[in-house]
Amino acid sequence: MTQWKTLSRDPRRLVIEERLKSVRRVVPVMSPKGGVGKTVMSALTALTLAEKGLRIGILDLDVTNPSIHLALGVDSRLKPSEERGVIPPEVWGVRVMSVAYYSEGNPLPLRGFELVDVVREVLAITVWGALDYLIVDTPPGMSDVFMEVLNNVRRVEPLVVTTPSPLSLKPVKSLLKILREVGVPVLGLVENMSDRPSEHVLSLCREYGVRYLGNVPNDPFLNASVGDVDTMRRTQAFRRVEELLRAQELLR
Amino acid sequence: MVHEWALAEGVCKYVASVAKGKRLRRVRIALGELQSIDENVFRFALTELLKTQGFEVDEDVVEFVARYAVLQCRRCGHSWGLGETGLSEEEREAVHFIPEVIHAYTSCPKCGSRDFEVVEGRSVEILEVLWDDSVEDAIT
Repeated sequence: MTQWKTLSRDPRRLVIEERLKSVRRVVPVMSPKGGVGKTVMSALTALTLAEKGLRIGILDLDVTNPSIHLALGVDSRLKPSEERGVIPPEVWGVRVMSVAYYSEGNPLPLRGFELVDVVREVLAITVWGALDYLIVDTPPGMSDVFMEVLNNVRRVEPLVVTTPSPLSLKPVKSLLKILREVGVPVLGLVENMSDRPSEHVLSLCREYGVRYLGNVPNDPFLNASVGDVDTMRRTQAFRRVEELLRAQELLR
Repeated sequence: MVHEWALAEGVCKYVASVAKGKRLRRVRIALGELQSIDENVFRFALTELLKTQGFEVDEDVVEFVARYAVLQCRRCGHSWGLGETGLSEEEREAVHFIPEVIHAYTSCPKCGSRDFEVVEGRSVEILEVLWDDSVEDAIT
């Protein structure tokens, strides 16, 4: 007897786990609010971990506004190589994957379901190899990309970024609520652009049982160093991120 | 070894998930023009991958259906094909990896909007998996 079955599942989703099987920890850097420093925090975290000899990858899922390649000063001539998928080039000891390799700096306006396709495509074709950490820079909001990461990547441990502003804290509270509802453990919360720990942020961490990693003061030299990693490494922000990661024993 | 292997892996996993241990009759796959999949490479990759899953893959098992790309503007409704986009080789190569980046390189020839839909011919799509079996129920 002949049997048949039509497609009820997206085949790309079936290989995502395979692609990430040798990645020890997947850390999406998240915040529903824009402008709180997710990209810089992603870049600083990846660079710090790589400097300590850990195997690090960074994936830019801010698809319509990719900027990790700018933060890390990735040479625009660099492209992923092909070997049963695409292999991200290594920059400053970090394997960097971004749609920017393919969009070449052109505007890339996309609808939600198109973003879903991009996320699945990238996750399905990128061959990371063995990594200790895969840092994922995510766009603001809790929309398509956010949900695709939660639904398609097992064992994520988000690093939540906020500023002390109530305009950032309220959306972060919603984010923590959603992560708790779906049982996703939060790696920790960083209070960015803040000279000292804010009671509101600490209180939010206590309420949701989230580890407060610490505050990172606003660093006037950081923006000027973007794209120049040697200079970025000399900033106060870089040293502070290093301190926080060491204090939390994440540098291993 | 090109990235067609990565896409073939997904198809192989799907086939294995529905027909593991069965005798395959046909795997029919649509190949969208936008992704410019190399048919020979994809066939070779899929056949080899299916063999590793214990399938016997006769020559005529894997069947491809070409799907031309149809783009439609969401702003003015105009429809056009890939041939009208005038993409360069480098741009086609970029679209090959991530089809959605076509929005970075072209816009509606009538109104200039980049808000267009790829109505058909985006990428790889499994149309049908057919096997011999006397136990499994057909699912649509």
